[in-house]
Amino acid sequence: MKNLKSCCLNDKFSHVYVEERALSYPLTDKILDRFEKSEKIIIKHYKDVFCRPHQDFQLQKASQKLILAVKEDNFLYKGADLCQSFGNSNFYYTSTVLNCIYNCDYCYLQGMYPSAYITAFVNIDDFFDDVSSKLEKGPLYLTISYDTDLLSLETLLPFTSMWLDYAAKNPGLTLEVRTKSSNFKSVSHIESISNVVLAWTLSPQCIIDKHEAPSPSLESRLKSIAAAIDAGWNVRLCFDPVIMTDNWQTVYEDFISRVFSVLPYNKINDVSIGSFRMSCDYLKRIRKQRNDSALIFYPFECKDGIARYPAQIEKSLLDNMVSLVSEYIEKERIFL
Amino acid sequence: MILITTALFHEAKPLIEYFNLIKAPSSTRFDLYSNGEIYLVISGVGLLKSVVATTWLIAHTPKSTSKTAFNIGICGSFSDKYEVGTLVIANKITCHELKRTYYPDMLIRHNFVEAAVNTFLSPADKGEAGLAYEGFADMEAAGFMEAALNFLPPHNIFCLKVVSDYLEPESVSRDLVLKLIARNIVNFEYLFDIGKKINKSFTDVFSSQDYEMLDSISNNLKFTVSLKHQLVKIARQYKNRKGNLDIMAPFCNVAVKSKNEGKIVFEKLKELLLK
Repeated sequence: MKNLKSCCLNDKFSHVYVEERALSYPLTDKILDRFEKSEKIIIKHYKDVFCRPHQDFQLQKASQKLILAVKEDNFLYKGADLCQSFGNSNFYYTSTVLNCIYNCDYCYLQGMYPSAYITAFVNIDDFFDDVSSKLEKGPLYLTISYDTDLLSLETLLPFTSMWLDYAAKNPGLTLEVRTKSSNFKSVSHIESISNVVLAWTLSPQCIIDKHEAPSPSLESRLKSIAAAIDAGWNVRLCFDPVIMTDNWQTVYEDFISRVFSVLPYNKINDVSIGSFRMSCDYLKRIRKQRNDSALIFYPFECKDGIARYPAQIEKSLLDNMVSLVSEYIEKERIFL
Repeated sequence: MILITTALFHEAKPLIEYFNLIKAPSSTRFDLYSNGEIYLVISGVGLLKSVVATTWLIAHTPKSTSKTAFNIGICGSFSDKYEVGTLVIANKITCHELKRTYYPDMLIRHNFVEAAVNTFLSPADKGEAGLAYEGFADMEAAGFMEAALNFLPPHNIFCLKVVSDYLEPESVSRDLVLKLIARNIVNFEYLFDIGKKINKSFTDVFSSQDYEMLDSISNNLKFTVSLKHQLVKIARQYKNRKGNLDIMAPFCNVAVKSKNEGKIVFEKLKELLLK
């Protein structure tokens, strides 16, 4: 795919598809200003492009396009059982952007979405209105970066800063922004907000090289986290998914030791740990499309519609991680 | 495999000559020309004929996972800023009468004009120019897209149009069509090559030796179709993880007398492959 990219494929975002009704939103203009050189194609509905049959997710990843659209309904979704709520009740997630700039082997998005094109919903005020109406009934825990990596896109799509601005005005909301990026600088001008958690997903460098291309290196993520901590932000570390690899015990031991030699562990809010898990349907779909990832073809066990490592292996992976992390973080702040 | 539809013989002729395409004697419904790698069919003029011919072409060419379809022909331009002879790659194809719009994947890098193409049910003339259409006008692209998108991935579908006039269809002679298509033949060839390169990047994890081994083991062990299917599936998983199927080699020499015995060996094989 690399050769193909250099010889024949368009650069990322060579084309921007814009829904007719999205044209009237100021955010659309703001975003389009950042894509001056891109070819603009006006479309009726984002699904006319996003939901075409037989699309090749991996090929599209190599030449991703952007779609600007208006979301009509279902602005918030109830938090899924596979995701951690960190002890919060009233757990919801939302997707102002679909798809991610990275291409991790273990990512469920490749099995969930028919297209790899990044789709951004420009009617963010409708999302805010929905959150506000829920906040009238009580506090809300909301994650905004599950089906994408919002912070990595901030320079192109300024959604993180808009959400941060909204959270600052709504103390009843606890907002989690999850990322693998080293792009804290794009929001570093904003003062830390007490009801926002910046959550970084971290993996050993060998896992990043093998399975998380083209995401930032461990060291650059750590640098970004250290800067966020320095600026007073609440920081969560997510060691998720823990991946079975050669010499995994040593790999993860060295990794955890490196993480906490760089980061002040007493300033970490909490930690989440999880091993690989994915809907069996998504895994099946991904296996049909790819033959370039050893991880995806691991003989996972499918139980209750979820593919995961065999129970014994999963237990060893998680127990090992909890024991490594608990040397630095109290067990009450480690979530599985 | 390259599949081409053109509406007119004069659009096809330069392609037939340049790529040494030979008329298939067995084809009756449509004139099919081929050199074994490129297959070309002449649909006739109009959207419906284009749907039928494109579907027929996809269905009547040898089975392959790498079919790339091209609709090649002339078009009228709503704007005089494009010279006659300009090659246009359609990035949006609309049939206003049917209220349908189609989008091929625009993944490949090129230096040609890229624009919207509007397909009309009758030849577009100056009358249409007053309407707020953008781009170019033709009579087949939407039909081609409707059919092709049903069978092929959108990155394997291309509408290539050559500007022939400014909505004065009566000004377009057969000789002009021949000349315009011939002038762009190298451009078409370039795009065919890119189409082939993209499809070459999708390699089968199994080599022909792997397939032979899987066949031989399945036959020797009297596997049912379903058991063979399972074997291929777990062998694919294994090869993706380990890079080879050497672990299966000893099983090539195992033979059984009954399907039940075969099932027992299958379980052993499965255990090995899922380790």
